[in-house]
Amino acid sequence: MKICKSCVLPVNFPHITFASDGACNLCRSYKGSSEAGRLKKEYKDKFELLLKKIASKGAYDILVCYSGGKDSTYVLSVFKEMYGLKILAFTFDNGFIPERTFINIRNAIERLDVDHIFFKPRFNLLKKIFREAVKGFLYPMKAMERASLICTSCIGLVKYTALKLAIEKEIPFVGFGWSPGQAPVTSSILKINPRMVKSMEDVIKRPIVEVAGKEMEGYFLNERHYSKPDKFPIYIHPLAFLKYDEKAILNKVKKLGWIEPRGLDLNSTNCYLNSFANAAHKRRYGFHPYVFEIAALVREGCMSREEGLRRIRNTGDRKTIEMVKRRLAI
Amino acid sequence: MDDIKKVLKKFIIDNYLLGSQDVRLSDDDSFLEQGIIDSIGVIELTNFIQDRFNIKINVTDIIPENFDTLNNLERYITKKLKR
Repeated sequence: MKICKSCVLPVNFPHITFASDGACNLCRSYKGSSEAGRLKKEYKDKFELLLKKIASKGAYDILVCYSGGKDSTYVLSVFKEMYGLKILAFTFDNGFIPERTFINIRNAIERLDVDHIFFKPRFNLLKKIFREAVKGFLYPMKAMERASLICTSCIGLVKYTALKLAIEKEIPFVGFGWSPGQAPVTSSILKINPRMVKSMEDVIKRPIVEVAGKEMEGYFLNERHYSKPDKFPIYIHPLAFLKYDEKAILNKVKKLGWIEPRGLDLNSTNCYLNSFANAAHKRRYGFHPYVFEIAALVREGCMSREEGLRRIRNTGDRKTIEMVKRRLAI
Repeated sequence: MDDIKKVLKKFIIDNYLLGSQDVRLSDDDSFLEQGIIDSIGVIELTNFIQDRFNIKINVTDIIPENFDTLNNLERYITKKLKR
């Protein structure tokens, strides 16, 4: 299959075009790393200014969505050690967290000395959503360009559960460990009008409630939350404005007692479901769900093209995929 | 008027639909319902409009009635430019 000679986007990726030299339209329009460096500095300064302006009135400055993977572990250390914030770390347990990740989480939160909570929704509800995500079209096709159907469902639940928690606990910031390929620097600081949030939430909530039933409504925001627009937090994606260097990140998290779990694919460091979700997405759409993110990392010089290709060609651990299928009864 | 819409359409196609020439984006298509724009896209779009049209957009203005379709956006920007 034809692949962009500069990044890793394949010819069957939606709306992609190639010039005669073999470069895709995104690589041709990329403005270069000096512009990216200028923007990173601008957004880092902006975040630091916001920190000075917005003092938390409650027990916490920031709620960190903490999956236990390498990036979110690193982000936890950044907020604690670089910015000295009062942190509540939050882990959403989707039923597919490796045992090693639970140990990694405990090690990191104890060494960084931060408060932490787990939230584990009923597995039977999640199972319905994940099963349907594999066989049905839950979301607009556009959303499928950046993540698998399963990941979109899971992340949707993580985002709105975290948002609810931040509003209820009056926490002014919510932090994520998204890579610069997942969140561009210009969107690394997000303050969104609650009415817009409601419309965005509907895109995720409607199909999830349809598939898993009315019980799912409780996992999303309600009128009580929307009646407090001043309590809506600002989303922060620090890896978009800080230097993203996977080797340095791994070195740092290892010092926090983090060890890479076994049985995972090359694009996850915390979730067994990922290999299965990737395979299902590839089968359905013909391209890897991480290819857009990896292409951006390659373009920005955060990853070599060879490594990018290795990751999108990786098919994951067969035993893990079988285990996921059994657990989802597929 | 047409120019505003043309500029916006080009930005949306270039940035969210990868510059595709064969894409059909009508003036009343909902960006949110079609998944064209998510939370990250909204902020990028806001930054672009502020720079391109030299207007200041408050968070309170970023609502579906102003931001969810090309027609809504054009109406909103025109109103801001007249002020």
